[in-house]
Amino acid sequence: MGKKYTDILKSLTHWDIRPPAYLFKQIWQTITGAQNSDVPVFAFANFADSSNDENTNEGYSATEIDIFRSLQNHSIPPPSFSSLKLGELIAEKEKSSTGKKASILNLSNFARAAAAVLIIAVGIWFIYNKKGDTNNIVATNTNTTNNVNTGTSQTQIALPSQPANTVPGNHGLMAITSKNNVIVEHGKKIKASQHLKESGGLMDNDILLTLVSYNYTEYLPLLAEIKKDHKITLDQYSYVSVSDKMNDVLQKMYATKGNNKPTRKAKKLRATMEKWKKRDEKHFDINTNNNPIDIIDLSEFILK
Amino acid sequence: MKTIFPFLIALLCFTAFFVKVSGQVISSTPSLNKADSSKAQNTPFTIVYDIVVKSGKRKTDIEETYNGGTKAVFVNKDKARIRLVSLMRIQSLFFYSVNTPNPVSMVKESGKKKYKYNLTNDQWNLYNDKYTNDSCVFSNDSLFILNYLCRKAVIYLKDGRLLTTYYTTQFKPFNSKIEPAFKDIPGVVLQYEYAYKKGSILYTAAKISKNPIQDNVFKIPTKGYTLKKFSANSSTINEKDSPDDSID
Repeated sequence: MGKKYTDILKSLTHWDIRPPAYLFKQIWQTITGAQNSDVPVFAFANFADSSNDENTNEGYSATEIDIFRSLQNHSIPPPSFSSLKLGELIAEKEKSSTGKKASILNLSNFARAAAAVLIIAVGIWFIYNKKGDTNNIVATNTNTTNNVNTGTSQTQIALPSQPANTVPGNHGLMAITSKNNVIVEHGKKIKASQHLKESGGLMDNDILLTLVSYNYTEYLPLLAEIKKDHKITLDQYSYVSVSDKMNDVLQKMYATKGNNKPTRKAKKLRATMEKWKKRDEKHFDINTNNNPIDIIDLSEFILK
Repeated sequence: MKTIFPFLIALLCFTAFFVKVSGQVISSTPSLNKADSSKAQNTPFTIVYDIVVKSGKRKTDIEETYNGGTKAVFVNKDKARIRLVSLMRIQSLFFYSVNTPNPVSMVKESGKKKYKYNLTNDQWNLYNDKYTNDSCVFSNDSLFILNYLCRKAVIYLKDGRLLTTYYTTQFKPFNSKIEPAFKDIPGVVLQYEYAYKKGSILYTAAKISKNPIQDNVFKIPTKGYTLKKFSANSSTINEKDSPDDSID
């Protein structure tokens, strides 16, 4: 039974029916809407038959050729919307996409705002604590009646209110820290810091000379200390706040090459410092009419 | 604008808080302020000024070696000392009672060549000749320095130069020999400024102490110091021709 059907199906695979010759004409007429009954049915049949042969026009009537030519020039106009509408469509598209991004940006803004608030909160906390410390220190200072000779503990004496103008970059000016509560005696080498203590104190009691003469490796801890505190403390009443400009110069002055030797610029800076020293000595030491402690004498020398 | 908005709000909160904190500090009146001015003259007195140099120069120059320095004035009965400490130099002036032949000594404490001058009153007056016949104009402008209410006074020198000062009357003034520039000021100057060319130097009191002062603070050093003789007509060096050795 099954074998019988299989044979029929196999024989049907080779079976074909050619469409009637007039069918193509009817289809064509339906497409074009033409009612040209003059066109012979066989011609369409030929056309259908020879549709795979592109190189020949033989067998086609002039009407058919005209139809084909007209089809060559046939074009379909685009949908009737203007460039303006197109622009609007693009804008609308962009707007919708921007809207999506805006939501992401909002998240980013939130993160930024949170970060800003956090930073400011830390800043406020820091300032508030510093103010609190200052007030405590002031109170301590007010109640202290100890002789400056006797105290040896660390004492902090701070400015209750910061003056309107301060040295730029003198962040350490709010508090004067002293490890020694005694005014330094003369004839002794003044200790600028622990590092200076270890290296035997100031050279010739001169801060600049010490800095210029300092060994490169020895200077590094002192430089770190200067960078941290922005000042060199000699004793309770004597300290030097190192300005940002001067700190920058000092750092450049200690710049070294790969072989640990000073750079050309560092050497030049040292030479400049020595020139400054000589200029200062000429003005105040040789010319005895000038007094560096007098504000006018000092100003007219260093600001000219 | 959306980005800036949170920052603006945060900044506003920060400013409001900061103003509040500052207001507390300014309005507070520590007991140190209530100093009895009648006692100030006889008790030891120390004042430390911070020196701030403002320069109009683009390059870093010698002024930076004085910027950030300190000037301390120690006064105890008939003795006084002014000490300048800066990167460039440490120098002191010692003052003693008028009865001694050399009541003023100028001592350079730093450098390879340390020296001292012993000056008579007349010699010291030569240093301060510029302050003779000066005039002082007082104003109602005020400033709080170290929580002391300070009034403004402008000192006009005879040649037209002027010093702007802020002083407090809570302490009696120093002997005019110690600070000749302030001889007309009825108190202690806590801030003073001198403007020259494009820059200025500002001295602001950073610390005031009435603690006793060690005697050797007023002792003039001797060892290692060359005693120089003061010469009123010492050579004046033409420094206008000095080369430009500033740093870019």
